[in-house]
Amino acid sequence: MAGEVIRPDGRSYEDLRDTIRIEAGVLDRADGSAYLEWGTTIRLVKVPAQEEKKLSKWSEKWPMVSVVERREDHVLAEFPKPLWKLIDELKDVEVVREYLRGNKVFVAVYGPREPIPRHEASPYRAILRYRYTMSPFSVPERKSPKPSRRETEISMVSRLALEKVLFLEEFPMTMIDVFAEVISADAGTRVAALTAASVALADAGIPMRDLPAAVAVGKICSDGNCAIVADLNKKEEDMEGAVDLPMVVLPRKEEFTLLQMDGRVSREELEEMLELGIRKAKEINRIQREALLRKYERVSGNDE
Amino acid sequence: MNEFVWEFTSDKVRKLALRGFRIDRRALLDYRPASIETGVVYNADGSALVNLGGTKVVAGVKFELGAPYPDRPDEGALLVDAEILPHSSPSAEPGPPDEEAIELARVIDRSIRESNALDMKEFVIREGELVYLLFLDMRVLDDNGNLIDAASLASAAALLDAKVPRVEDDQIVRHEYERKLKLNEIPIYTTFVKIGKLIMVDPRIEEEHAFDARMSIATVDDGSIVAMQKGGAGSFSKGELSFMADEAIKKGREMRKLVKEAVGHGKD
Amino acid sequence: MSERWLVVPGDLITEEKVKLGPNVYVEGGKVYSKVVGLAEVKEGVARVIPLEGRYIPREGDPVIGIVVDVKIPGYDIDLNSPYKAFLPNEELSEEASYGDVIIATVKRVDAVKNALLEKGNILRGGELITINPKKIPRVIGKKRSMLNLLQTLTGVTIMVGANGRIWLYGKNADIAKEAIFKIEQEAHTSGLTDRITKFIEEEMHGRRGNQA
Repeated sequence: MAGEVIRPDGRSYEDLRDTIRIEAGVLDRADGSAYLEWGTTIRLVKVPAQEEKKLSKWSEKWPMVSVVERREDHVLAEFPKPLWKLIDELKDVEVVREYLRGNKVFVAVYGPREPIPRHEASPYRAILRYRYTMSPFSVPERKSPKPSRRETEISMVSRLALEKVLFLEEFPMTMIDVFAEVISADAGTRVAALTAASVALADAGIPMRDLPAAVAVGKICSDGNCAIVADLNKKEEDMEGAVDLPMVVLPRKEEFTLLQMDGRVSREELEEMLELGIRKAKEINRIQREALLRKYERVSGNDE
Repeated sequence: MNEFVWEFTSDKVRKLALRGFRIDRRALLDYRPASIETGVVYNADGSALVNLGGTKVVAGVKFELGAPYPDRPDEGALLVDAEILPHSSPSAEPGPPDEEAIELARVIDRSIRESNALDMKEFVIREGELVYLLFLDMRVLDDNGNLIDAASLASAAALLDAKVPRVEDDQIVRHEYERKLKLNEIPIYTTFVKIGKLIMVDPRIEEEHAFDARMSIATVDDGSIVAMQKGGAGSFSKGELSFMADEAIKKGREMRKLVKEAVGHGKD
Repeated sequence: MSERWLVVPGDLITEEKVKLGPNVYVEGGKVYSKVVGLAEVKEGVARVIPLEGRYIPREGDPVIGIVVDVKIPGYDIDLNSPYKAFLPNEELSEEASYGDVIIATVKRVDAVKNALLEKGNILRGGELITINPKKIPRVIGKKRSMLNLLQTLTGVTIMVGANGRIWLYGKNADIAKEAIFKIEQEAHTSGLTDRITKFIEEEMHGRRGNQA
């Protein structure tokens, strides 16, 4: 699907990032847990110095193709998965390594459990706590371990996004804790954390109306052209005039329990973004479902 | 878990120890299976994720720039921090680091400093004005016992994985590295617990709730001991300490090998 | 012929008019799952058998707990649940102390799910393990078939609490324990009884061989 706006990693407008993996039940001590990776798989290649001209041309068009190390006789360059086909056009190329440039989140759920402090407990329902934190090394500039205002805000809107989905009234006088730690960040971290949190809550056996799926859609512009896109990565978020709209969708009812926006859009653009969001959230929901079911398929006996 | 519930498990651990056994049928000097993965965080200058018998710790190295300590104008600064996340156990509460987390950071810090693993003089940009700050942050995700050794493995692997970023116009150029971080030593902790008269290595969480005393010993390859930390209220005899020192050197070498293998993955 | 299938929260169970069993809810005339589990529509009832979750006290459940506080009228018992349990003195024929293992029955659960226990007995010696409470029905089996199998093949006395706690007493307790952990892992599969039988027989045979 060619267009006037080139995405930095070579994706089509409607594509989610190429690598989204979720594993349920990864932490031993927690009542429920999930590990999620959401990003772009990068191939680090080594080519002779002469090939750098080709690389420069590509980098101009797709900024996520980039040289990361220069030596006298060779250079090392990164290629995002959607553009791996370009690697074949290089002479004497060697693939050194593959790694993920994206979000990595560990979510732990404890509960229902005894409330702390006791006097905040409710006789009508469980109290939900959501704590979103980022590792100091997860972001480009080392972040102090002290909770930031951003983390506090994200924790709150995330909690609100989940409260009505859970059947909290079944557990009076208790507390349900959701802890999300982002160990690697690349735009859309709150959305990655919430997607994993749904899986962790289901893994803990907390009754829910649906598996809420989170995704961010938005708008990016370059040279006066704009496009509505799904799942902005960091490069796109940082583009001038970019609009970012993270959301949490209840896939079955197609309803939003979290919606925030950064930027300026027209009424028609908003409509288009919401519809795109719902479509993408359903894709995410399929990945969440598979993660939960896979946990049980892992242990099936051969005489099923 | 409620304290009295741990009491119940501890009773079983102690009874078995009297007969010379561990609850998971491990040999006294055997570590649980350990897995180490490096280069796991794109934005970190070095990183590692360790799983030691279910205890999971992620460590990351980040370089920043700043002023040196006034009494060390010709050296970069090493800053080690650890956080035991509320993910890691039912009793871990969210909030600022408690005494266990602070002890963990300081214990790991000492092993790196006292072993001279890093030559901090290498990190000066302008003496007295601008130096590299080397941040080593550890995050405990799952506590199945023996955080010290798990954190030690994660830090060692993250440091070995680390590269030093380029500086241009007094600013770090992200994702452009000029050299690998040079380590003169790779300090590794070996932790023992004493239950009754029995001394065992790599305590699992049930053993940690039942021990009388704990000893963590950091060693480097040539057999030197570079840091020690005793935990718990019980005591050790001189003979027991000598025994543990010998074992720590042996075990340290085994685990150091594991760390080196994890880091060697065809990097340039 | 009823068939069970794996579901996650929000999955559609049925659009027919049925009675609602546990762990399902109805919306717009359709029945959906609340949890991860095995869905079943049998004899006009739609339900989901949950595969995860902590123990919530229910009237009539046998439970195995640990004394965590000794009070004047009775004992506070830990059930490995977010909810507390209390056993009055008169429901125990002897005096218990901190850390004692008790088997009892849930007499009543109040509005905030705290449990009142009755018919308590102290379990001395032996070994206590805790598994996912949702797998307990599989450890018991239809008409106690799995539990009987475990006891007969190993010779171990086994007491099972609905709260996920299991007490074992006997020489081959470790074999019974391994078998129970296996059941816990594979609770949702079929052919389990045969696999467990085979496992125990092999372990017991190996044990007899070593006692030469």
